[in-house]
Amino acid sequence: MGLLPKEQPVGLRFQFQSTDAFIRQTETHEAWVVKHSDSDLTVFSPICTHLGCHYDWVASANEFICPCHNSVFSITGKVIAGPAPRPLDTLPYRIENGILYVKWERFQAGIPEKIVV
Amino acid sequence: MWAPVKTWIEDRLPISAVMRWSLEEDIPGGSSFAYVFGSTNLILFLLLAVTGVLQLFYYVPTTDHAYESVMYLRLQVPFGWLIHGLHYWCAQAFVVLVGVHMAQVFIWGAYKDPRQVTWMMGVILLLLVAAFAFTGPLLAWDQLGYWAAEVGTSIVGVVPWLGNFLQRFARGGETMGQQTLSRFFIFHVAILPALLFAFIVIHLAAFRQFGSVGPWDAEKRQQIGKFWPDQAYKDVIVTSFVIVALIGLCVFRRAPITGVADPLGRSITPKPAWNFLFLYQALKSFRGPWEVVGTVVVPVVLILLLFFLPLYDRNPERNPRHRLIAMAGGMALVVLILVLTVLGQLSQPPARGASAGPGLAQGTPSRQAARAEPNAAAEPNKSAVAPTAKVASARVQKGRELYQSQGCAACHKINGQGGTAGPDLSDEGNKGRSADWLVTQIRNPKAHNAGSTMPAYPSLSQEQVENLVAYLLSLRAGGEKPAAGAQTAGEQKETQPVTKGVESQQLPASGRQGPPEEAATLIGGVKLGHVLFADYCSSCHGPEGTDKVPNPGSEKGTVPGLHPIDPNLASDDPSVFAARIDRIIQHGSIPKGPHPAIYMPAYGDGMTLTQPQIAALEAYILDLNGVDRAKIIDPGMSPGRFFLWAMVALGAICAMAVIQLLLRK
Repeated sequence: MGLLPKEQPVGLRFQFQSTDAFIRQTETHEAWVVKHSDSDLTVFSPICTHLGCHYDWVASANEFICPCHNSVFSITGKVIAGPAPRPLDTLPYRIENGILYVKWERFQAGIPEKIVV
Repeated sequence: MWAPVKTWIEDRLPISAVMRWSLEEDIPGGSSFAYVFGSTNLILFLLLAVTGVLQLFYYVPTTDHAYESVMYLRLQVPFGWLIHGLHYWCAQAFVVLVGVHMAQVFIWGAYKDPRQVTWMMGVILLLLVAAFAFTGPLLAWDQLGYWAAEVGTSIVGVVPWLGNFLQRFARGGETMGQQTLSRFFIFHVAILPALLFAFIVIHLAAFRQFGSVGPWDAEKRQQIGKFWPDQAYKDVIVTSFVIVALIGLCVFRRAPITGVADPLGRSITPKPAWNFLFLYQALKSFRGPWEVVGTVVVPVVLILLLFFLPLYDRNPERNPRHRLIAMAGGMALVVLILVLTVLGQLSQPPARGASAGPGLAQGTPSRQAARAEPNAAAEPNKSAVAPTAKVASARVQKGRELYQSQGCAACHKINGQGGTAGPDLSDEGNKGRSADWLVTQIRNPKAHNAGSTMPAYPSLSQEQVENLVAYLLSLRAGGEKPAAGAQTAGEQKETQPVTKGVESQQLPASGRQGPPEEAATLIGGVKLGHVLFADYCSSCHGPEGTDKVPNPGSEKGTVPGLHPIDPNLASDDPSVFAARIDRIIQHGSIPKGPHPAIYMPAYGDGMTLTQPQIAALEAYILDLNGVDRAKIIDPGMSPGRFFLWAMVALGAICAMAVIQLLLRK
């Protein structure tokens, strides 16, 4: 957790072992983390809920913006504009001894429901 | 001698009969250049098949080798540039000419009774061509192909009821990966070609059943021409022109190089290939629950309208002037597709910062905004540290080093040394700013001042930010000792362990260390490299690498320019050039001199940039210095010379066909 700034989205990059059918490999992924307090934060999947592109945080606009089809999300993940059918997906997490553990999950894009795939 | 052989074969294989059936075709109204497109498409299909098979001699359909195998073919195999280029440009031309062929058939009313089946088979061929255009780009496993497939298969996923199954079927699982590549590969090189060949045969058989429709004017139809040789010569002339144009495109406008697929790369704006841009643009008109209308209903309705056209348009009239409704409908569809394609091509993601405060130009790259990507990882195997006074002291030292390595001195001055673009930091510790305030300033300068020109520092981990803040708070006019009562970032959080995450890499003690990494062997995309350069490199090396940014304490006094670059790094051989600069970008370096204010961060070791991103940066830096990272190493023959020979050869064939046509007249 350390000095993650409060109420400022930070992209955390991490690696984990993935399995693609029979192929096991180390993959790098990202998650967007917004810290509310030392024990409370929101972890967003970096994948747009519309069609699976990676969105970006635009601090000057205070919004997450997806370049593919112009979906715009607030810092809370709420859809502000664009075709995204649901808010940004949050990822489960826990904090132990100041270390953030994120459970990497993917969700079906393009539908209003948040369904793990 | 030949006659007995021919007779022997003819007795057992009816070659002459088949040839006669193929060539002896009456054309009502005589031959015409308007009728050439079917034959041209057939030739293009054969060319695609041949170049596709030749590519398979080199292509490896795995995610870790596909891109490199394609680039090897393009750059190092004699005539590989031609094989790949012809396949790429033929595929583009095929889509256009299939469209032109359909338009010609529509205008001539050639889909009407009794030629309905010919038209319907043609629509199926159009769908197969679209499937080729969708599956092909992913095989190169480059940025454009990857993202087009990611978005395309996501669109499939929103189809009601079947979407989830279709998406899983297309991807071979839940996410893009090796299974996706394997499936796209087998569709592109086996299933679709077999289907296309079968439907071409059916299409041709149905066509020959009733032959050419000829002019709509009954009087003109009285004159009967022959396919062979009249129409065949015209086909040869037009097809020769098309092939010369395609070779010209291979020589003078290479297929784009966008770099290997990078699932983390957000510097690229994914857009579909031009032939799907109209769907991409149309999709934007439908929101929320209506989106399925844009993704499924509209395309399906259009396809059904096209497919069943001969069944609901039973008016036997073929003259366009007497089919105003049909012509208006067809024209509207073409105009709509063209307009949507142009709009899709011109459309950009919303100017980042469009709703921003003052001082930020429209379209300013987002990395100028807060985009912190600390290397800290949410991994269980990483240790946590609880800072002590000793640690805090060490932090100041590390922060000082970081201040130098990140190039802060290019803009900020401390004790008289450094730039003047930013505030003087000599007395930063006395300004009463909290550690949190400084952390935010480093991570997101615009949070405090929307007009700030200070770049955000995405390469810094939490630990590095702590160190930098500790150093800044230690700065007092006349000395750097921490003042009593001033808390360093570490001290302030003393009771709270902080994430250490992935160990930040220490910069080499001096000079360049470590071997070139994966990026040195990847061919990156120059455009992406340009974007990344602006975000990560230009603050120290200047825009386009030309500035002499001051570097106090270094032997040369300035940050090395990259345009032109140090001759010891440059090479005419792009592989050598890339390997030399790769070591620096991966592992960082310290300039010679007593106390250089700025030194080069380790972008690769620190995971600040991915290997594909570093490859793109290298391609851009080479491009700045006039070296093409994607230089063709072994062309087989100079492309320019090959183009001339092709023009001569195909020109000669054209000339013979023209002479034959003139003689027959």
